[in-house]
Amino acid sequence: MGRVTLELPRMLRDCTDGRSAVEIEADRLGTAFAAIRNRWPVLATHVFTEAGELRPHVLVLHNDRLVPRAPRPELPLSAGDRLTIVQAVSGG
Amino acid sequence: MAEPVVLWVGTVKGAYRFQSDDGRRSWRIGEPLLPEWRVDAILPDPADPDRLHVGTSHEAFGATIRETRDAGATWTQTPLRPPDEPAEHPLTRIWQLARGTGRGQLYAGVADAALYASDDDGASWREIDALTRHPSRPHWHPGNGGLCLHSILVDPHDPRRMWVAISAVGVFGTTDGGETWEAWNEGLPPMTMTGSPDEDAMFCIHKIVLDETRRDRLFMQFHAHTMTPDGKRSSGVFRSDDAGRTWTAIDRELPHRFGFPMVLSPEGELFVAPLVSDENRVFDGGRPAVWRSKDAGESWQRRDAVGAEEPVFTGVLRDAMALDGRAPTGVYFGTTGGDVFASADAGDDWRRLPARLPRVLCVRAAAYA
Repeated sequence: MGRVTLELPRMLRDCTDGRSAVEIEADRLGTAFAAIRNRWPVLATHVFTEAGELRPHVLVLHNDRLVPRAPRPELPLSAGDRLTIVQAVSGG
Repeated sequence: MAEPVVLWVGTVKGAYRFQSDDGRRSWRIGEPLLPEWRVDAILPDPADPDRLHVGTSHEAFGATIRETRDAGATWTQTPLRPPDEPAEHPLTRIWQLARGTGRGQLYAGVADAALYASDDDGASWREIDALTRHPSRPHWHPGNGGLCLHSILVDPHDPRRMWVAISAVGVFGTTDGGETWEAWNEGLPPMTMTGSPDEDAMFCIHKIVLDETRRDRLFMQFHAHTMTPDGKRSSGVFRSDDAGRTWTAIDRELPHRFGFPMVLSPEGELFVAPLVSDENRVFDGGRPAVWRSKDAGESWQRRDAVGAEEPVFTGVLRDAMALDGRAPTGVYFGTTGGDVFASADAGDDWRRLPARLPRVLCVRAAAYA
């Protein structure tokens, strides 16, 4: 598996000891999400619903491109890729 | 120097800390805390002015409980549920934090309505699910603010007795430490007159408080519908003298019966903040005021919260009023327009604190030796 960078919005950085980006080992989107749950369970609380899905107003970008909301656990990732968690622009 | 009094204000965008070191004559405000997060609930530590728990949430990123031991410089956060644990109902907000009688014992009321308990000062939580397994649960309807469990009362003389209130469902009580719960809403105006089972779980309670000096006495601020289904004007402020089993209106002297917050001092001073009506949730005439009763609701006195330079057509939400435990009691309330008003003499004289904040959701005060 390659090393992928996970980028976080400022308001979630206390879940990763203040870091704006962390490295995870993943070759698929599904393994990246599993790594988030295993290593940063509080971050997972903010990103995923209890059913394990992305929260309705949370988006994930893969190398700056929006990942479709439909589950894509098999989406391949390569070493050096970036995953970015952002809040959907939906008011508030 | 007088003993410090600390005032915490939770808003839709962060929390704010005020402190007075001169007998509540002047206040200084600290930096905004957790400014991206909604802060519905604050629980100060009665012994440490720099320590508190808060309930935070965000529309996109959900809800957790946070704790600081250094007045907000650093925080730890604890989810109420493990991530990915299947849940029957969503967790969207932390509406209330309360202290139990045991060491390290805390309670949290959330939306969708549920009650959580911690025995380790908030390090871990478990749901008291006998409440959410109540037979009326399929009929629970949300109020305008959501299906929220917003009031948690623990009898200091018998911690197996507790009361919670859920909007727009009703009061539930337990006498066995939460193993079983009963709906205690007799005497309250029903929302409907259809005769459907929903009627047993359709009481829009806004706040309940416990008189800790008189066993079995509670007070309630109710939603107060402008007109009940049978054509009568609904009462809004109630008292129970039988531990919540039955409720009696005590609001004949109040000009308006609709309101949200209610607080009770150890000396028996009861405060409410009437708003015009269900449909117009602002101070009457643009004049912010609280009403105070010193005789358990038999009579009321209006106390105008002067200090506003111009008319104030805002309201007060259910947790946005607090007392500080000193004698005479300090009284504080924050408005939906972001003003905070303070009285150092049980509501006789008021001033507006020197800040204008986001919409105020909760206010808590504590005095320290």
